[in-house]
Amino acid sequence: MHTQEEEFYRAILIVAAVVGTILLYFIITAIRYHRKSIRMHKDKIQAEIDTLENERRRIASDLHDELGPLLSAVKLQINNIETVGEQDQQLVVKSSQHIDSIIQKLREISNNLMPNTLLRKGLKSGIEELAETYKKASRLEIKFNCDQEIRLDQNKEINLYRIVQEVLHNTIKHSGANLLLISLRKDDNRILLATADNGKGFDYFSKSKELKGLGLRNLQSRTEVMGGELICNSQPGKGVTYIFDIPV
Amino acid sequence: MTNEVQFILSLCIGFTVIIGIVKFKRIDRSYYPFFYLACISLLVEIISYVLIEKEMYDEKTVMINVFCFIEFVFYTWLFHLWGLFNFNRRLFIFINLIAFLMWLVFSFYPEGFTKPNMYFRVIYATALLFFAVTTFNKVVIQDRAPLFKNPKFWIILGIIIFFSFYLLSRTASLSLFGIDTSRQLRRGLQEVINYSNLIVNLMFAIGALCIPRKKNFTGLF
Ligand SMILES: Nc1ncnc2c1ncn2[C@@H]1O[C@H](COP(=O)(O)OP(=O)(O)OP(=O)(O)O)[C@@H](O)[C@H]1O
Ligand SMILES: [Mg+2]
Repeated sequence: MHTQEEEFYRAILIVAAVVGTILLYFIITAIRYHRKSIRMHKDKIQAEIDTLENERRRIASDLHDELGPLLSAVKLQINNIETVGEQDQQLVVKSSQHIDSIIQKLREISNNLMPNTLLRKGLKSGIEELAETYKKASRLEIKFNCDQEIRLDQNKEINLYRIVQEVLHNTIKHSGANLLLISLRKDDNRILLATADNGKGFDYFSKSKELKGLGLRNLQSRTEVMGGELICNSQPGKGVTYIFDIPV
Repeated sequence: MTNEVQFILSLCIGFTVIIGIVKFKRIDRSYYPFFYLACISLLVEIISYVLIEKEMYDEKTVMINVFCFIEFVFYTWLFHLWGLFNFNRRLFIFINLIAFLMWLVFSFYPEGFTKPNMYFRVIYATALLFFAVTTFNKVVIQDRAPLFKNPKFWIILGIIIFFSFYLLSRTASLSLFGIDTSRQLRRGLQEVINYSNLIVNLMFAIGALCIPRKKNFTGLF
């Protein structure tokens, strides 16, 4: 190279170095902001879920602990009413029955809001109870398969329970399936929750982008706050399979 | 860098090809253009080495001219599958049609078909840079998985880095157009590309390693 060419080449190399530095800076800032935005996002949905669950817990315990005893007292008082005629007697019995069913409904609602079994006996029993309830109420057959006792920290248990609940709701509401399999397994350091129905299936990506319902989004965000992974496999006509892979 | 060293270093793209062959059946289809292109690149590297050894420079130039267009098609296809054009197939085809027309024009202008189509190279590299940056913002930043484990992060970053230096070197050559330059200078400019190519091939290999397998569904039924 002549001197002129050498100078030109040196200038090119300098420019290359500058471009390289800019690229490096770009990468580093991209990584840092990405991390930050993930953290903020996670905090946000965690806060949303916390608010939701705390509210539910409060309402559930208010219903159960405050209205329950009150209604029981009312029932006692009604039963103690001195009746004169046959008609009055029947009225009292009817009212007492109504109060019974109110108490029953109240218990159901409160249990739905924050399942007692889940809190007391853990995830496995919670889901078993859920499956029992829905088996009675719908023509869907539910097979729950879990051969170990699993105890996790309560937030995770609630999240997993809500996931199962939503999958169950969706299966009943949309899939037209008559069989839902749920299996829960704990490996060394992760929880695997898998469900499969034999219904009509749907396209997960397009539906979750439509943002019509909250259900699918909740599945995603609950999986996300637990740091897990959601895999949905579904083809039209072949049912829906979910796998939730959650680290513990 | 001698020809041999350059050739051996450029074979680094082979890592990506090997990983691709091993994983091919178990990965998402949206990565296929990337692996097709890696195979084609490897082939082009080998053929151009052979052609240089045989001193068939015109043939080599023609091949590279064609390869530029192929590269553009495959990268835009990749970006298309990743959602750059909002999955709008017409737009994707339209863009490639325009690229083809440009390629045709710049194959014969300002020099013949056997000379490097420098203008096209500058244009396609610029376009790919823009596409890559947009895809990066659209796909990689939106993804909430850690960046280092995101194959798209490595692949797109590789594309951005490669075409930045490519553009730099090519515009430099273009500005020397018509000036009688020494062989060393041209080689020197080529070397900027060679080194960035090396880094980028390694990044591609990392990206290929990161591509997750499609999960197997051990049948519940
Ligand atoms: N198991 C399933 N089988 C078939 N389609 C389903 C299934 N689960 C969900 N879908 C489809 O996905 C859509 C979105 O479900 P998502 O749970 O988000 O909303 P939703 O159930 O309609 O409302 P929400 O859950 O907020 O009460 C549903 O409208 C339905 O079309
Ligand atoms: Mg729902």
